[in-house]
Amino acid sequence: MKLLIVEDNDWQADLLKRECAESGFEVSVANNAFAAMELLDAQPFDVIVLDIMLPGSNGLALLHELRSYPDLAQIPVIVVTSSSVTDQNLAPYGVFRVLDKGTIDSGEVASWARKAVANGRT
Amino acid sequence: MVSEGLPFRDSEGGGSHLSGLLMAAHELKGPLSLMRQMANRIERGDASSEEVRELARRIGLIGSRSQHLVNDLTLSRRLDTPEFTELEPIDPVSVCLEIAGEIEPLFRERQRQIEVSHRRKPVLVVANRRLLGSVLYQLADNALNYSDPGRPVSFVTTVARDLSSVDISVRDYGPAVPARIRRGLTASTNHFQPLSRRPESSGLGLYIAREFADSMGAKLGVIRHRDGASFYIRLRGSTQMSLV
Repeated sequence: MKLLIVEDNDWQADLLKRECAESGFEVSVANNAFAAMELLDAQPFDVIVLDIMLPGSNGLALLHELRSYPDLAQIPVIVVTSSSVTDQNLAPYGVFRVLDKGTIDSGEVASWARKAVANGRT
Repeated sequence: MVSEGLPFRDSEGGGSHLSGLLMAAHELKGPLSLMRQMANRIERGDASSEEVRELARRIGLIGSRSQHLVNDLTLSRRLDTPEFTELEPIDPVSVCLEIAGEIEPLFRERQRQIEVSHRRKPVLVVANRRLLGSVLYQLADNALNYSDPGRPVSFVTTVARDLSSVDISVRDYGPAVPARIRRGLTASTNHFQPLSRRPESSGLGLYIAREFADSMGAKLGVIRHRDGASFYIRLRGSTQMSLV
């Protein structure tokens, strides 16, 4: 299963990458929305873990962009953020789950990513 | 390039101590969350001893950085005390070197570099050393979050032709933003949605830097480049030519 992390904080990305890799995902990291689109153009992903506050173009813009391509629109997205967005705010973008960086537990993101992939396959 | 002043201040943001508190809370939420996640990972016992050392080092660096922010925030409420109202001739390059040395471990841990350069022998500036140091620390910290690995963040000192002022800028090289998007961003700029603020941040570090700059009669500004930004403080040059 291929997972893309879009996160500009290297240390946060490191933590997420380790935990998701230990959970069996093949993980790629993009530190901004442009880099994410390049990776998404180049290879298929099963799930995206996305931060909202990104330099250059933010996570909401990326979500909007994803939804404009039929193939990319199918990829489930887990939003992991410090901002105050909620599941309801992001419902129009088809986000699978919004997680707060302030409260996530170790392994929680990987666990939700697995659920998202499983949900997409049913 | 897009050049602008840093527009936000309490009165413009609708605010007050409450908005300052909210900014502080937002600014500290990220580092606190990260430290908690790192501590959780250590506690779970999944990390190798090498990773545990790395996590402990990072927790320490995040803690120091946050402590710096809190100290500056506290200091911003004491700007009218003699300790901070006193200005003196200062060698700007020596302050740049001092702050670069202080923040370098944070840069190194994030595989980034910081350097100090100056285009000609600078005159002295009229400043308060403690406040100027804090301004430069906040600008460097801001640049760290928006620079790509492999391209160093630079303190650059530039002297006006008539020696009346000195700019100390912090140049970063972030992700290149396409011209179309830059134009859109520029067009949408207004006093309440400052370009000067970077997306990850509440802007608290820059807010503090501006308070300190104001207090010294200096000006804070930003120049946008296609591939990053230069945040600068413009200080009065000192008529005293050099430190004896």
